[in-house]
Amino acid sequence: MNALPKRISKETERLVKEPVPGISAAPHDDNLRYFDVTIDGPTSSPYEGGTFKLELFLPEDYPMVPPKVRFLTKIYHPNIDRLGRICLDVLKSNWSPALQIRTILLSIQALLGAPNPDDPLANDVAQKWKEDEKTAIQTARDWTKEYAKA
Amino acid sequence: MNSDIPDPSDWIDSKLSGLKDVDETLRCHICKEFFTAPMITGCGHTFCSLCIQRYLTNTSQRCPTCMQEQQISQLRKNVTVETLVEHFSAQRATILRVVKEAAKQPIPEVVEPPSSPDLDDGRRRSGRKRTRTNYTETLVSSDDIQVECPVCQAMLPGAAINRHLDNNCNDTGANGGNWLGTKKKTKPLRKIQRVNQASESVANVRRKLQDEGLSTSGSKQTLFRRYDEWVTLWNANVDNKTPRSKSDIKDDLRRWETTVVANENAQPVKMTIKNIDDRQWVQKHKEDYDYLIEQARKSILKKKQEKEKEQQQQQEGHQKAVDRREDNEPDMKRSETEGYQVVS
Repeated sequence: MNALPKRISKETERLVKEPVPGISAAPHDDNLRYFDVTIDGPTSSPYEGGTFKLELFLPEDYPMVPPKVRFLTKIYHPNIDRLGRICLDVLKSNWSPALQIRTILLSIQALLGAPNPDDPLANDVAQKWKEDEKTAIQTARDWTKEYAKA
Repeated sequence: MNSDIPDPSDWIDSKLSGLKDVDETLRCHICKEFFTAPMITGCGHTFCSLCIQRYLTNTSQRCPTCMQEQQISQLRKNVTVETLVEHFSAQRATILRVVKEAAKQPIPEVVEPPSSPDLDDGRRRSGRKRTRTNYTETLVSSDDIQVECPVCQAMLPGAAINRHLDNNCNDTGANGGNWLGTKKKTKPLRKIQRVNQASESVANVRRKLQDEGLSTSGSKQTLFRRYDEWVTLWNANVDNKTPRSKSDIKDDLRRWETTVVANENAQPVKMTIKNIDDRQWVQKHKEDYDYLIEQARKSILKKKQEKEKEQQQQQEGHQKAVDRREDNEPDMKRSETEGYQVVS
């Protein structure tokens, strides 16, 4: 294994020293590129009160390529599918090496606060969201209560 | 976790927490280090020469900060920032030490009586100011401060500057020059041209590598990549205020080849994410995968059916169109495809 690039050490240090409110990210002792992440559901969203677990992995080419992130906690969201994969532009085509772990996690938190059913990953959820938003939001709330309570 | 890497967060709990922003501004957004040979893009953002050249050649032709299109030819040196970085990083450790010490002993007797209660809230400006000056005096003697030689621009400890000038700048080793004009660096380094893989022959690239004294072994792909990386490393070095020697850059290239290229070959092993055994993952999420597969099959079937239906309609329509035409314009039976297109 290569030595860990300085940039990753710096980012990790900053995440620990200056944590983002509502977000935690800690690397594994035996693989400093693999992070356990938790994100609190944003207030006044159906995910409020839930703590969502995610995993984050920094590929060898990071920061030239984006980190790989996915939800481990089940979540009802039009842009997150049943395997926890996330549809977010900054994780794909709009990635830039000027972005970093903390900005990506903030974007994911923002995505929870602003679901976008017009660019869906989970088609059934997105359809529900468009046809009957009230019920969809209620389902999201129920799932949060069931799966995302610490 | 390695916690002794200098980082903007070092300033957070010091008395000069505002310096965190200064520190951050003087760092490259790609490598998070202080700028080395900073280059400014056409859109006004600054990166290390090596970082931005590597990014623009290998990854994307957009500015990492604002996503505007960028080309290497648009990059210009950012001399002011380079000088700023030089001065700031030379003083950084000292400033940090001073402000950290000041935080440990908030009330030095010389400046304020120990009873002063509101020194920490920052309102007693005179008190704070005096505190700082005082520490600068006691902790940093002028001999510790790095100063720039007015003749050769080398950074030296204050104590050494007079001797340095007396010796015609000859005591600093590699980058010290002589102000009488016998500088070591006689000819300015020149940038080299990139090669275009589509138009350049392998033999040409091999010759170029040979001219530079680099290895010429490997596949066509390897040769082009090696030369490309050499151009990136070399041109970034030329942007440097004090360029390193050619053999240093060759070492960099060798390191790149042993780490980056070797890594690519070993990727299958490297990329396995800890704790995620593929088979386990598939088993655990079998239900979800089955669901996704079912959904995919359904949507394929649906598309197929729709297509068939469409085709049927088109055929019917086509038939009608042909009938109609036969009624109205019996001699216009030119092409069936044309009629087909009109209807669809």
